[in-house]
Amino acid sequence: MADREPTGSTNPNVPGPLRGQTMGYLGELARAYVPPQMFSRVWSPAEGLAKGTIFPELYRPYEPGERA
Amino acid sequence: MWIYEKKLEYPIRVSYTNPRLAKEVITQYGGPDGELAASLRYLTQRYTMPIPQAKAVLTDIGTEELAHMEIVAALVYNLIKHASVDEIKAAGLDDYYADHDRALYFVNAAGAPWVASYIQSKGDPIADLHEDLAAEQKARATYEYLIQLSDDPDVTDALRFLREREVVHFQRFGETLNLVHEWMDSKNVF
Repeated sequence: MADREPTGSTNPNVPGPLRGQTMGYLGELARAYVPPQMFSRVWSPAEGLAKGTIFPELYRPYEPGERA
Repeated sequence: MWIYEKKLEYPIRVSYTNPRLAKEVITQYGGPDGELAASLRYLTQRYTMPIPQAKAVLTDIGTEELAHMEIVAALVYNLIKHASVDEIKAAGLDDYYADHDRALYFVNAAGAPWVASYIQSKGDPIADLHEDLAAEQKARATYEYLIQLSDDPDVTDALRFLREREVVHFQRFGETLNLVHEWMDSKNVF
């Protein structure tokens, strides 16, 4: 268990030393990761409806011109 | 089985008749990265998900995409319902009018009809969830292009809401991918 921890992998076939091949990133090679959201504060339902989410950490407003 | 709510998930209005904008926004109704494709993709892929959490996420998000399809339909219809034939011709929507009048139909911005090959249902949960993550990013990008093209602040407001929902869905599919990986690792299935 402990020697797998540095890779962040739950895959028993991924040994701890693979850490050196992931260039400092947690996780094993050849798969995608999205960090899990941790519950924190939420906006009111009315504000959430206006913004499209009640979670401040997921709010990514877009302004045209940022990319053109 | 669904329970029907007789209102839109997000209230919409349009500032004025605008068949040019309708011609563009309709791609999120029947285009490759639109809401019909999204809802059918998720509601179809759900059956071969290996864990209940993944089935639930696909069913929930597929259901919400149906609600978004309804919002896009309402936007498009409100933009064209009072348009004169001259306005429709000036906006380049006359080809569409010849087949559909001012009715809603599943086409992309260039008029190509919706096809099932816009979506995949692979039977491999890792492959399907990667498609779903990509689909959310493609839909987000499309909403950004539509926001750039919109000259109606009321339509832009609805497009912003729909775009933000794609961001949230991406996060949920990512968390689902992690759960499916953990389940596969626990089963020693690689």
